[in-house]
Amino acid sequence: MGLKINQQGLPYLITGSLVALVLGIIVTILIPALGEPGPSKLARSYSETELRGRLIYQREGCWYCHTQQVRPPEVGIGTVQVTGDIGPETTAGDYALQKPVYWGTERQGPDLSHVASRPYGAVTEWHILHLKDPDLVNPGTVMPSYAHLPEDELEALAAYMLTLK
Amino acid sequence: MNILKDEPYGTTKGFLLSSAAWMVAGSLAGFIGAVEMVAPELLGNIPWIAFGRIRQIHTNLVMFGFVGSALVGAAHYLVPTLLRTPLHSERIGKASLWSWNLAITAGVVTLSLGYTQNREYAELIWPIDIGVLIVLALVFYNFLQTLRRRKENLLYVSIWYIVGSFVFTFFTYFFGNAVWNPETGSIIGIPDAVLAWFYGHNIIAFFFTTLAVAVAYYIIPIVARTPLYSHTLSLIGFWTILIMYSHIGTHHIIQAPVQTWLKVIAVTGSIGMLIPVLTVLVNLWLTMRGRLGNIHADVAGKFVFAGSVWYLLTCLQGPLQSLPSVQRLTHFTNWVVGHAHMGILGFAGMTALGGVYFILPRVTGRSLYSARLADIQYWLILIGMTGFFVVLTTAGLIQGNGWLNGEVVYRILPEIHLYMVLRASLGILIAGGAIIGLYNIFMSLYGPKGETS
Ligand code: HEM
Ligand code: HEM
Repeated sequence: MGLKINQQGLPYLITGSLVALVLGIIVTILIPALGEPGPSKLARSYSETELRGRLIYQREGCWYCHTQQVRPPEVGIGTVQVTGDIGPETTAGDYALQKPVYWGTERQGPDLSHVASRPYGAVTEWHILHLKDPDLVNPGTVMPSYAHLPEDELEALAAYMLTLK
Repeated sequence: MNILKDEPYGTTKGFLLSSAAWMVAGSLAGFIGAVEMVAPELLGNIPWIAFGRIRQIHTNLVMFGFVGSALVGAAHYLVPTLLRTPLHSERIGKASLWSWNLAITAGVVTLSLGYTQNREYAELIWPIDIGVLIVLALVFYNFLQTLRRRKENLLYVSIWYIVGSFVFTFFTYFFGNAVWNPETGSIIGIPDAVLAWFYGHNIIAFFFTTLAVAVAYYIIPIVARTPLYSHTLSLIGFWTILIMYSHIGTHHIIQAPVQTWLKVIAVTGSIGMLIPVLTVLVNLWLTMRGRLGNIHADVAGKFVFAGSVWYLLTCLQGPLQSLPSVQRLTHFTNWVVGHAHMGILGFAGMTALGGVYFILPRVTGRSLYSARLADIQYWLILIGMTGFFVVLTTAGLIQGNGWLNGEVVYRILPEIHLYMVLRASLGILIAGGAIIGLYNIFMSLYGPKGETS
């Protein structure tokens, strides 16, 4: 059997690949996208400065060490500074207005979904100090210093951090 | 100098050499990243190699630069050879070679300057995406023309995989990078996360995995000096991977707030992946049964064999870590980084290197510059990779357990420090292997003419 198909295979091959691809797109992207819930209470649109900060977050690749996704098993357990302060579980609606979404890939530093809900995290000056000298604030951290960024960029970045409630 | 010179197998040679060079650059970038995890201040916080940037440079270089170039180069050898027809156009081939390298170079520069779309393996900005798409289209066109004029009627399974890969990769790349949205390269909300992993997953599945399988299917029977065990099995493997692998991207985000039914498809499909994986491996291993001596007498055979073992390990680990009960522990940790190196370096990378060392003597008409150096490279990579697996998996389990027990993220850093030191040290082996490889491959192509084979 194998041999025969192998001889006239080209059309099957190309059509088959396309069918699998199109099915994949319909089933795993389009249909799920139709059923997405609207924005949650935590979803927000950004002011100009906040958006600028968000793009600096992207430019510096902060995303590669910090997640923004509180997973079900760590709610009430996950700890950044004091027990359980990771915050409430992330819902789909929290991301509804984000483009792109920074949900994360590896966690070298703490989750930032709700950083602004922690006592220090709501303070602009704390963020700027931390960005300039992470080791001063968290001895032993692997986060690099961003002291080379101009002051207005640090402020924008801090403004973005404050949106993460 | 005519950069589009029309010489037999010129495209293949160019891709193989590019791969070797990008492997050096890419593993050095990985090494820099690894050092930063150990001693963040050591390199003096140079912005363009800060971790967030160097990590993107590393992944793009090793994946597209090293493994990608080698596999695309190998395909430019396999297609004409298996069809017993010269490549339709070496000039188009050369054009794709140069554009590919240009895109990757531009990628390194832009990423280090902070121009990035921040989605894994889709970081490159819009103009570069267009360049990559043009290359993919050129290559596909070139292969299609060769196929149409072919003298060999029979399509060997490697051809199936190669054609399928290029059809798939072109569209995956197009949709995954949301190229109709030049500004962000993304869509919005959770669908964006789903799309990102549709892409991330399918580029691994239908660029790296399927092209590497095509190479293995070609090399194993020749090196073992026996026909392929079963052509029917190879077809089953092909169609099942096509149907199954294309639907399971969501297994990367099982814990994100994605619809449950989609997760069910992803997890079921991930377990189902054992079918295509095992059919390929059973087929390859039954082909070499009783002939492991032949395989290991040839350095190319050795690389491909090691690749096939890593394929098994990666794809046993893969379904396991797609289970929600396992992923709650392993997700976001170094365990996944271990898996990524097993797949991309252990399986796809070692198989691709097997392809490089198999093809080189056949396109130059003389033996390798040094089979011994190739052997040393094999051991360096095998030891480095095995070490990566042990070290990263252990570190990942420590992180995962710590987090689930409510330990502070910073407190766990000292606990995994030792493993990060080991990872960086093992990186020296792999980077060393890459440098040896570049020297050997360069000399095989351009060195003093030695004996002919
Ligand atoms: C049966 C086959 C496979 C299955 C079911 C599978 C499953 C998975 C899963 C579930 C993850 C996500 C883990 C997490 O984030 O917690 C993952 C990540 C990954 N896999 Fe696989 N895998 C398979 C084979 C492969 C192969 C063959 C390769 C390489 C050629 C590969 C490369 C990767 C990479 C690079 C990642 C990292 C993605 C990231 O950064 O999060 N996998 N795999
Ligand atoms: C000198 C040797 C190497 C070192 C020191 C190294 C180090 C690293 C580091 C530090 C990361 C970032 C992990 C993180 O974010 O936590 C990484 C990621 C990665 N590396 Fe390497 N690497 C090396 C070689 C390679 C090679 C040769 C390949 C492939 C052929 C490779 C493929 C990858 C991939 C696919 C990722 C992404 C992981 C993920 O997304 O989960 N690496 N590597």
